[in-house]
Amino acid sequence: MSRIGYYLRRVVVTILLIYGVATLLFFAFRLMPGDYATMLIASGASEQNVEQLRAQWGLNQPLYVQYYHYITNLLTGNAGVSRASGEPVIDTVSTAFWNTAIIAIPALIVAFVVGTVYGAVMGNSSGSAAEKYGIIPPTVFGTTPDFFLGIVLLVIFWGWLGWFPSGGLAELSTYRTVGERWHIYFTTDFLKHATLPFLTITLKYLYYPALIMRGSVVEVRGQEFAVYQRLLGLSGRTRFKHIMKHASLPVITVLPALTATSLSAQVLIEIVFNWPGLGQLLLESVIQRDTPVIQFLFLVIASWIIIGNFLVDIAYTMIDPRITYDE
Amino acid sequence: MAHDNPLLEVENLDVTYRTREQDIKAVAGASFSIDPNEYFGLVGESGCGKSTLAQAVIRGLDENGEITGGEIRYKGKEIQDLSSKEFNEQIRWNEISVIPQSAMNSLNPLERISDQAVEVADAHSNWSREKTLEKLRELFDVVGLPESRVTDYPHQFSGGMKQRAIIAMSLLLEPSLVIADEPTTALDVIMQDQFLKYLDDLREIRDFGLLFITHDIAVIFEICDSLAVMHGGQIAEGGTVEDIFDTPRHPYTILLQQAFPDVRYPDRELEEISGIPPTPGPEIDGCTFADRCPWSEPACREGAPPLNSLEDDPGHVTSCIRSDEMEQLAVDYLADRESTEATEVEASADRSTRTTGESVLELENLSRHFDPTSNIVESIRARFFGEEQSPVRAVDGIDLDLSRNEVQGIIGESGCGKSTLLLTLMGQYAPTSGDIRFDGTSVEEFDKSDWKEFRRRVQIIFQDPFNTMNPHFTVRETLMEPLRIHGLHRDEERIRQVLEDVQLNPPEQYLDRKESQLSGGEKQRVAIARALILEPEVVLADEPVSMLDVSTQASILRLLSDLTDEYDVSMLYVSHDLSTVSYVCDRINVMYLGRIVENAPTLELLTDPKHPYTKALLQAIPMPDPHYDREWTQLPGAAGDASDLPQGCRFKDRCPDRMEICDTRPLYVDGDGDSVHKTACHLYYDHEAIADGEAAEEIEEVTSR
Amino acid sequence: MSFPSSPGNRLQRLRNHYLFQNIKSGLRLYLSDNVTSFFVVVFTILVFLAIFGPMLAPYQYDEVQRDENGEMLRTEPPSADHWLGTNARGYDVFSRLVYGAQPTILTGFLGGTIIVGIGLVVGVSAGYFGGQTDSVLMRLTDFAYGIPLIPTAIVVVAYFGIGFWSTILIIGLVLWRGNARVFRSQVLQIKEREHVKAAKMLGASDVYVIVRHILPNMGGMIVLFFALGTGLTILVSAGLAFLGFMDPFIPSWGIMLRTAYNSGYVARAWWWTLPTGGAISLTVLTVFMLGRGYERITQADTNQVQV
Repeated sequence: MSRIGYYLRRVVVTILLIYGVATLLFFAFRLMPGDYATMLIASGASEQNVEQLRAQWGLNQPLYVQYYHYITNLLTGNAGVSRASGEPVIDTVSTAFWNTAIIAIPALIVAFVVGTVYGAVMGNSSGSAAEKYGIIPPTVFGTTPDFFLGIVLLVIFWGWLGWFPSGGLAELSTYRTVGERWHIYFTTDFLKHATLPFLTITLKYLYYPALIMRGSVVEVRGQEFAVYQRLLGLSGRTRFKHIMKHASLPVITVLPALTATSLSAQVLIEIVFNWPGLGQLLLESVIQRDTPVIQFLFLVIASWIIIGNFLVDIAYTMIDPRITYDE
Repeated sequence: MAHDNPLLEVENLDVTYRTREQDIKAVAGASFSIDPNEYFGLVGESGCGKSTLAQAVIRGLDENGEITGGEIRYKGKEIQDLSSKEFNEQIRWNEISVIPQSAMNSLNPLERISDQAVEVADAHSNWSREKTLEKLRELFDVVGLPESRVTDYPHQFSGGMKQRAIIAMSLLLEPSLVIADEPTTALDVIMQDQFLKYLDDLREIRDFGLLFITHDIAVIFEICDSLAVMHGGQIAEGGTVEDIFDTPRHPYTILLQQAFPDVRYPDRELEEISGIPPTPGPEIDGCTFADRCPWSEPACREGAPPLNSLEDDPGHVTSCIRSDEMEQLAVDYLADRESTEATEVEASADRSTRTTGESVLELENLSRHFDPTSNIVESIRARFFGEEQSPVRAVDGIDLDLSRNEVQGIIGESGCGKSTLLLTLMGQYAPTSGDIRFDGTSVEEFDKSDWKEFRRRVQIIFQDPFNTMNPHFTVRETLMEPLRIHGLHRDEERIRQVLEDVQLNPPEQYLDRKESQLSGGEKQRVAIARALILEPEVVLADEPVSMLDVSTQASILRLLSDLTDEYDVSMLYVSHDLSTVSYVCDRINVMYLGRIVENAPTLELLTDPKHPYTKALLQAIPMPDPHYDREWTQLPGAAGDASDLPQGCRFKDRCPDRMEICDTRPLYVDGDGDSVHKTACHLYYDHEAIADGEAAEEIEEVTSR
Repeated sequence: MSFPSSPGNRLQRLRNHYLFQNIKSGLRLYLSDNVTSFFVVVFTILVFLAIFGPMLAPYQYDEVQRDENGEMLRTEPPSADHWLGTNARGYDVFSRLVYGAQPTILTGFLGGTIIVGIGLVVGVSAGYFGGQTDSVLMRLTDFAYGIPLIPTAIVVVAYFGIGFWSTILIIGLVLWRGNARVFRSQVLQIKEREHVKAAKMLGASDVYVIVRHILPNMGGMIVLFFALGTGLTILVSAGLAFLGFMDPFIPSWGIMLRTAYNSGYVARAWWWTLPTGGAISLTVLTVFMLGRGYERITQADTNQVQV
């Protein structure tokens, strides 16, 4: 099969997967006990009012009708209305999404690049004292709870040194000065606020690529082609380059799984730094049982992971010529 | 060897590995020299230090290895004095290059071959990219690869092509010496033959010396001018191939030659070399062969023996202190052996007559196909969209009839389906079609208890001696296991008996050992014991000696042969190596791409092969005799793909005798008919007879199945 | 076995038993590295604290500390009486820390057990039986890989209620994904060994082959993944505790950090926050490093000299 055909098929599979997740989420949340309405009852709203609300949200219609509306609405970019705030879910989530993405994606990229190089250097000097003790710092960061890493940075850089603010995306005063909301990302105040959470994510996620790369480099160095290259007398730099290319394949493979776990960490880190992103939104919505928001948040998170997988597959075909397109 | 300006001289070389426990002297006082344009062989069993020696020359030793003494002179200059930068610039690849052990996987899979060549040229010369590519194309032409394919990725090449690309790489900068480290070990016999052919052809076209390292003395006798034999880190003997073959003067060489299978003499008894290769320690002070030598004296263990020239032939060196007497000692010893063997042979019934004719295992049109779609999504897709891929026909229509007490061989190249056949026989795969009858009953009718019974009466011995035993088990536990599984009385006496039968004597010494405390040959004996303890009727052997050293191989082959008589079992012996099969089997089946193409009694198959494939296989076997002038096989390409088989005969694309009829009508070797020698080839078919009448119908029927 | 055994003989045999021999020689090699030895000591102390902590703590974990005048000691810095000071409610931080070892490490071990348990069942079945079983189980594993753990856990906990045990169960039900594939590939390798094939072809049952031939040869791997699973469970449950999705009445270290953070004294009362988080880090680091030590010795095994 041709390369284009392969890509097309991957695109179709990706879309089908997202559709599957959307369906799964719909039914999963219908099966959950307790929604926003029951919470209202618990907080003293009258049965009648609640029934009225349910009718308004379409919750008393048959399941398949609800499902049909849910899917058609999603296709037209309508994910419903937040039960708590009454705002469209899409708006609420997209603001939070960009707030998260703008910091998490660069931080993860930096963590991956630095971690991979660090791990490669470790693996290349395997057996030496540098390797034996060098692997400890990233391991310490990796084994520290992410939120505690954030707290330590807060204690040091906010509490003791006072270099950075304690949390939030920006000061209120900064909010007032910008016109469009997204202009906030270009203020120095934002950068100041973003530094500590950025640092936390980066430090936390150095560990996995470093460790995988280290093991991978050790393994690739023992492979026959690497032994042959040593016999060929290629310079150390050339050989390192080749080994890096080979060894990075497993690191790329774990990338999507790690972005999934990074979303877990995101919840904790955003709470520590009071960062108005996906994680914080999720926690608030969960506490308020705001099902439409939670449901859509999960869809966004799942799509993030599925699309991540897709991109990795594509990247793989570009690095490794052995990939055949008919599998 | 009396050249004035040798290319490479190694003198008194010592190489030591530093390990956590102790130092290990892997090479001790080794000396040899290679002349310009000479092909020089270095032969020895695994662990004898031959690869280490070569690595020391090219500075490719592992990090814990170190040259601890001696000289390495290249073109008269000591090269150990060079800094690693100088060595890289002056020697490596410009003067000495390497063909590595596993050429299959030695090219970087992520880069084009041309780019890899350019990198090599950049590292050692100031050639331009264009010059390198031009040179590479030229070399591709020399080794028989299309010039246009220099820009391919390695995975686009078949195994044999990769081999040749590696030869091209080694010759890229026109070195004067090429070191080839076990380049043919992983190859099937036909591929090995092609490799040797190109190597031999190169003599005419290029000027370079070759250091060829292998465990296979036949290959050396065939392709090299001189050789050195190594044992336990020492050079035992060296000289021209004719000298060594005609007048060996070291006991190891003498016995090794006798141990080496030779298809020309399948009736000859193979010599066994007792003991196992020594475990090297920090110092070597004595002849390392003394413990295995039938002629050793106390003096052999006092100080390392010097490597001296023979009086009458200065080019012939040996490290045996009794080399003067050796000629006579060997003659006496072998004569003695022959007389005792003669009586033994008489005692055991002649192989071809000992069968009773009653079938114990019959295969009828047995097939086992594999569905290439392995995951659910794929198979659903295949079912709904009809994109079904053709199955892999690993075993495809096999007829075979194994009689009581008979030993039959199945030989074929890797991928011909012989392992699948064994696993299907053992019930690990259900047959796709056809039938297996054991003792007259079809296995299809077996219920659970029949299977259990079957598994007691049919046993299997595997190839790899290294994983024979559960590392947590002792020999006793290993041999208890069959008894335990079948709920039989766990009799210690029985275990001792079977250990004695496989010549692990005295049994007490072995009972409590674990895998790590046994040598390769001993492990394989335990595997045989495990198969025999249930007193089976049929034993299936899957390449039981292919991973053993020659000296051990012979003894295991003989043991198998003896035990089939003693235990009254029939055996199906599967191998890729015709020369070992011939020592054990009464009858041989040749398998090609899932089918049997020829079936004949061993001697007849070896002397009068019919099928072109069998002929090629036989012709491709190197002869352990430098005086024998073998012709290279002319078999183009590699075995086809079992999922994409041609119409008609499967061998036709490689067949030198292809006819028109081969395109349409395949022939089968079937169980019917009483001809002794069956061939699935139109060359031997009376086409006129089948042109009309019943026979033609029969053929149609066969074709359509 | 059929030969007679006296008690002495039995002891001797036990001593010669492969497990005992393996453990003995394994430990010697394991402890030959001083980094690993250090973490073995730390680990011993931690387990000791987890068992005897409540007896060793100078105060009750929920005992309000007061000075001579009966004033409540709120967020007092460390002193001779209170080595790690007091927290916002006047509890002794050191005592709470010592108490907290038990629930934290217990959580870890439980989670590790569930993780390895499910991982083994899935990985070994997929690898051993192959075919459709394999593809179904591996798709299941892929699916599990796609589950964002903390978001899922908080939703499930929020909708179904908070409980100490159920939270650990949720963690275990997701995190087995990390080892199922590794176990599977291990089994695929071991399955091809001759002794396994031999046992199968002798007619041994699947259970026999798995129990006698496959699992014993995975022993080290199982221990390694138990260690990693323990560490991960501690990390994740601390995170959930911090978010308020763990039982607040069990004084684990995660809960301590949550109270510290919510009190608003997180930066000022460093003696409260840092040792607590540090204890979690050290525990997880210890189990990870013990696992790494194991990797080191298995590697040493495969890197033997080629003569």
